[in-house]
Amino acid sequence: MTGIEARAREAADRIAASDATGLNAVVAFDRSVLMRQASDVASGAASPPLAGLAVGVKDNICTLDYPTTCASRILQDYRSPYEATAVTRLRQAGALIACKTNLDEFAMGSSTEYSIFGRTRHPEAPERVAGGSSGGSVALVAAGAADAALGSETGGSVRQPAAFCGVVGLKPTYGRVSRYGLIAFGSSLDQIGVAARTVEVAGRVVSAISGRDPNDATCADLPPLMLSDPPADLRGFTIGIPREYFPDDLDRGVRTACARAVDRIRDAGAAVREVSLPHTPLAIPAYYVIAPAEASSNLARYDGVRYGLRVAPERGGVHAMYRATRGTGFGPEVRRRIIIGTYVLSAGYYQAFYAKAIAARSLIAGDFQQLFRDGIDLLFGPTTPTTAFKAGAKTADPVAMYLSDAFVCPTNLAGLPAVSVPLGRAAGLPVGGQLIAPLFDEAKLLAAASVLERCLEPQQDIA
Amino acid sequence: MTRVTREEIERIAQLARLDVDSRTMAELTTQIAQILRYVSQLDGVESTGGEISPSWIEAPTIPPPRGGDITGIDLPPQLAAMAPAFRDGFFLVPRLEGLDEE
Repeated sequence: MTGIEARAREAADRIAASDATGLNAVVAFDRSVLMRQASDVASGAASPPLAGLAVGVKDNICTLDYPTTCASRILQDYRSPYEATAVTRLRQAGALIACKTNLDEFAMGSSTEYSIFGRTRHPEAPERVAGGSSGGSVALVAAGAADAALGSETGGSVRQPAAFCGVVGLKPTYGRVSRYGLIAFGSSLDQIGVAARTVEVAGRVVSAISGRDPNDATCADLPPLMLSDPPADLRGFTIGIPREYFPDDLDRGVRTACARAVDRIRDAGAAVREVSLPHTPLAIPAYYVIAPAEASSNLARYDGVRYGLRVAPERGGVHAMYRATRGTGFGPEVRRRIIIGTYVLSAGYYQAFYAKAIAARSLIAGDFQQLFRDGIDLLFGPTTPTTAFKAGAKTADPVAMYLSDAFVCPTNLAGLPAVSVPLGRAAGLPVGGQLIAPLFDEAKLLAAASVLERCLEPQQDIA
Repeated sequence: MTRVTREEIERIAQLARLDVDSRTMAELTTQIAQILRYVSQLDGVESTGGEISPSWIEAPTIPPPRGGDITGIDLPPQLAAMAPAFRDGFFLVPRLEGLDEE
């Protein structure tokens, strides 16, 4: 058995073991598939850059070896006829597609509680959520069962669970990674992201999956991301601290962890300035108009005709079939968002909601651009307002759930790259802080994140 | 403030081709009203009439859009290769019973 095959067997054992603990991060896994991939990589002549890296894939990203369900009844047995560009590139780089991971249905959620497979538990505190919607991918990495995992962000769905679970969560610039094969939720927001235990591994994975793709018209016409060795310190960097990300009601533990991180940033040689992103309060309202609007269009294809669930009433013809299929196939959060999206795009409400939301989006993006033009290299702030909340705490109150994305969704609206790194612990639970960079400046982002990561003790209880 | 009625949500559900049972409809109406009240914070934003402002896409290093060249991809053979069942340019699906009733 080669080294790669041995690593694959260990990964398979870890994935099986994580399942046995009730983590519920994995929705599809076949040991023989993993071992076959390892054999293929091991028998190859070249030494590819991600050789043997076991990578989980969120189950809204199309794969050939496993179904792609989006954790939805409407796609419960769906087998994609093609695989996502990101998955193809992972395989070409020698990575092993370890399994498919759990998510909130169609990536709509912030807790991985809205899944037909049941919720993913927090790997250290099972009564709490892992975050979402990429909770399965993140929990798998946090539990040590995979080396990395692909997730997706529309409104913070890699960074938020990464902060909750104490791992690195990277969201590339919109257009950095092809969306071909990422099942669409909000097409102007969706982006494949990466969860890993270190910035270095997250960077290597994004490098491997990035770059132009003729199959995705929104993918930037750029070569794959190239990353250099990180600097020794942060001298020459100017880091902005947005005051709007430190409201009075910010969790005390999160505030303390971020304050300590800011001290470390200064100690590393960076200049630190308080700055303002004045339109931040508009981000969640704008997001919860734009994303549902786009979702209402993207999910119109699930009609029971060509693929997926079909519920055919005895009477009423094809339209009754559409309504019954969709009414049965979609869960409560997806249904809410389709209704909201259809409402805000409907005659009489378009100007009141959608037109204002996209105007707000421009203002939010403009806030970031102004700071970067004014000499700020990167922004730093908390990833989430709190640590991981208890399961069931927010499912009865949709707006309360949405507010957990207050600090992450502005960057999705602006298309910017951002990374959450673990800062430490508050009352035993992980706290994440995020760096935000200008468009397509992942190199600067990850360089600073690497330095910050070296300066922190993520396991230390500091509040 | 946006007032949302059950009848309005029923109409929207029809537009969205979504069956919602009557028990769920009451709760859904309450939740949608709550969400719309929340997003009404956008009321004070000056709308551009639905036009996307250039500042959204402005960036110093953003690459130019790709060219719009038509490369002459022969689409049907690709679809035929991907589809579970495909014949004469049509996807074959399980028969839709009761189609004639519409």
